[in-house]
Amino acid sequence: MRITQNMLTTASTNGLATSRGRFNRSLEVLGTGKRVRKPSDDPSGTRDILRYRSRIASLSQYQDNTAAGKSRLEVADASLTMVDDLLHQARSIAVEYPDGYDDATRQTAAEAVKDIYDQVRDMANMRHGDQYIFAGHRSDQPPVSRDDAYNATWSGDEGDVRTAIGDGVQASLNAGGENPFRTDDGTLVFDTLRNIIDGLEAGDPSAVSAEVDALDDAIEQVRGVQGQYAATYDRLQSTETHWRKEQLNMETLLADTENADLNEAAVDLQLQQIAYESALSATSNIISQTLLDFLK
Amino acid sequence: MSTFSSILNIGRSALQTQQKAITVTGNNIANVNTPGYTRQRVELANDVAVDSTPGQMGGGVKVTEVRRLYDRFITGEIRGESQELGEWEARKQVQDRLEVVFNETDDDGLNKAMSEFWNAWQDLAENPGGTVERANLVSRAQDMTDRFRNMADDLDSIASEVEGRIDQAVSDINETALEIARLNKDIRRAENLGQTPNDLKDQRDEALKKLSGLADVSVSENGSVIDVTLGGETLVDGDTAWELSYDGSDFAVTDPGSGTSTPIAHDDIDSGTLGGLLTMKNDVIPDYRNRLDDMALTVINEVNAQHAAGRGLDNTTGVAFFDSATATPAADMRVSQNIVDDPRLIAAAGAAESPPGGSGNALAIADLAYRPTMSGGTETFSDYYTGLVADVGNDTRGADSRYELQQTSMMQLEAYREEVSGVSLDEEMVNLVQFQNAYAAAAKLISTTDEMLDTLVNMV
Repeated sequence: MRITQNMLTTASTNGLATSRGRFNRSLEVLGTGKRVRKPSDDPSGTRDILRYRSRIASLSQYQDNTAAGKSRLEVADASLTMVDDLLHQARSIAVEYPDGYDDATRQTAAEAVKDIYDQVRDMANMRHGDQYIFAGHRSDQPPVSRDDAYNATWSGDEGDVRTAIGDGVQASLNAGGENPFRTDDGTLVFDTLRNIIDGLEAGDPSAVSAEVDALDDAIEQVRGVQGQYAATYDRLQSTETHWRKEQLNMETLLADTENADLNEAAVDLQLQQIAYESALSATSNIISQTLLDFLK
Repeated sequence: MSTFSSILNIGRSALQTQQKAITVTGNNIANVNTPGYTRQRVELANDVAVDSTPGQMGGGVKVTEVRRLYDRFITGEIRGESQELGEWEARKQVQDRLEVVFNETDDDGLNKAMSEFWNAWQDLAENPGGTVERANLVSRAQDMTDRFRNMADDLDSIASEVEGRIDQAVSDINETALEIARLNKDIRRAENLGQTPNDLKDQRDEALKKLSGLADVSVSENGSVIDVTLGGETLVDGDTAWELSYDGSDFAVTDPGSGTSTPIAHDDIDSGTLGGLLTMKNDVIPDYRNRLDDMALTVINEVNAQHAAGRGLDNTTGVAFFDSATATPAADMRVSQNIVDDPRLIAAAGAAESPPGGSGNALAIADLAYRPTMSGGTETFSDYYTGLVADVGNDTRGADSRYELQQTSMMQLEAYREEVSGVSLDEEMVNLVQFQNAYAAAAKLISTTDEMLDTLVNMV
């Protein structure tokens, strides 16, 4: 076989370019720490990477949603605990009154129930962020207001407030819109309280006693709704934990697919460097020799 | 009977011939690095013998031919390989550009913008009346539409760049065809005069190789000229080059003599730079573009349909979130100006819900993210798009490896060609020494004859 100068130089140049290219690639992998830097580096890996990333983005959104939902439920739960407490105070007053208050005590008791009324109202008008949490979908307005005669107007609706906690899975953050301040027979707790105030002010013990059952129903209603909130809270809690674990898994998968194994990359770089240096030294030996060196 | 003059003639022919041989060797050495140069060799033969007693005496030496050491088969192979190489080089270059458009590996591309868009609907569902959430949704939506438009624009600008390269390839083809026609003419003239126009033939081979890299031409030898056809139509006919023209969509070759032009179908040009560029222009780029448009169209239609069903903060229904899709949905994708001007129109509440607390519609739109809306209801937007990116990656990888493969084959063929036709300096040095020695010996013959003549003259 004839070997010409051109063959030698072409072969040497190509060899050098190839070694240099591999060397550079190893260096790049080590420098960026990434195994996949463009789709063609690993097309199916790229597909996986994008899927993991989309999944991680939705999982972290679900966790944001559950966290926000939990915070809203915490506020709602604290309010209802307070309401429960206040209604019990009102109940004690209503139960004690028929045992014979004098006029002064009766007036004080009426004032106390008025305070309770307003505190329950404030709880019902509780906000989380800029939303009135017990107003259903009418969340931009305080759901309850009263006139001077303690007649309450409920302007909220029973709209279900939901949040996404998974693909196509939603949780209701207000017990499906159930109003904790209105019992199943349609009685608003504020009307019950007003009747007690009126009874106390008018000195009518039977009117006051008649409301004790209604108060019991109201307390029952508050506790029922609170129980549903607690169940939702637990659900959000466990969902959040689940998503956090899955997100960790996804992040591990993403890192495995996307990132280079640094030990491997370092060894590879060494090998490529040796290969490149060998190619350089071989080339320098080959191309410098011709017959001319030996002809005198 | 031999005479002094016949000896001197032998000496003279030897001197001249060795000198010619040295010239050819020198020319080989000079062209050691000339691309496409074919090494030449002087073919020697003994000159006409002179009758004498007791037998014929040699008449010296002569050069019968300066021959190109050339393998016709390999030259043909190289031309074929050039077509493939040209095709894949062009495809690889364009494909590398396309890959950049779809490079999502830095996590700042359309995939992320879409995730953020859907997530913004969930954020809105958390606080459907919130001004901040509404403003955030509008800007996420604008980010996404910007990405769609940028990608469509990038694809368009690559397409027009390909168009420019096609024009360039056409003008290169015409230039090379003219060169081949001119060389055909010169070679025919030289051969008619009994010359061997080796260097012209080298140049013509090189031009043919270049032309093969540009398009899938067929070559046929016709006496001393080489005719070339492109896509079955004449491009070079003897010493006439036809002109290839391209008007942005169709190709034609025009006979400069009669002015008649013949169209060439795109399908008939399927390799070489031109073939590669046409594949990108006609198949690859439109495919990516259609899939992007398809996705934009579905996003626009699905979101708009769901959005129109809900209620804005002021109870309005039937409002479009995006401008309706045009014929090029990705390139024209925009959030409706009404929504941008007044985010209160965003319909977060469902049809049966009251604003501002109702969030059923926002949740329904967020749900579109994982609903199989693409590919006839089998893939989600994200699946569809990652599929597209993976395909771009595969195509790019394929083009890269095909190009590398062609380069390797080309290198092997070039090595074969070098083996036959390449100049080896070692060999030429040996030849040079050999011819130099012969020249010195021939000179010695003449001086010896001169001495003999001297002896004879002095004797008298």
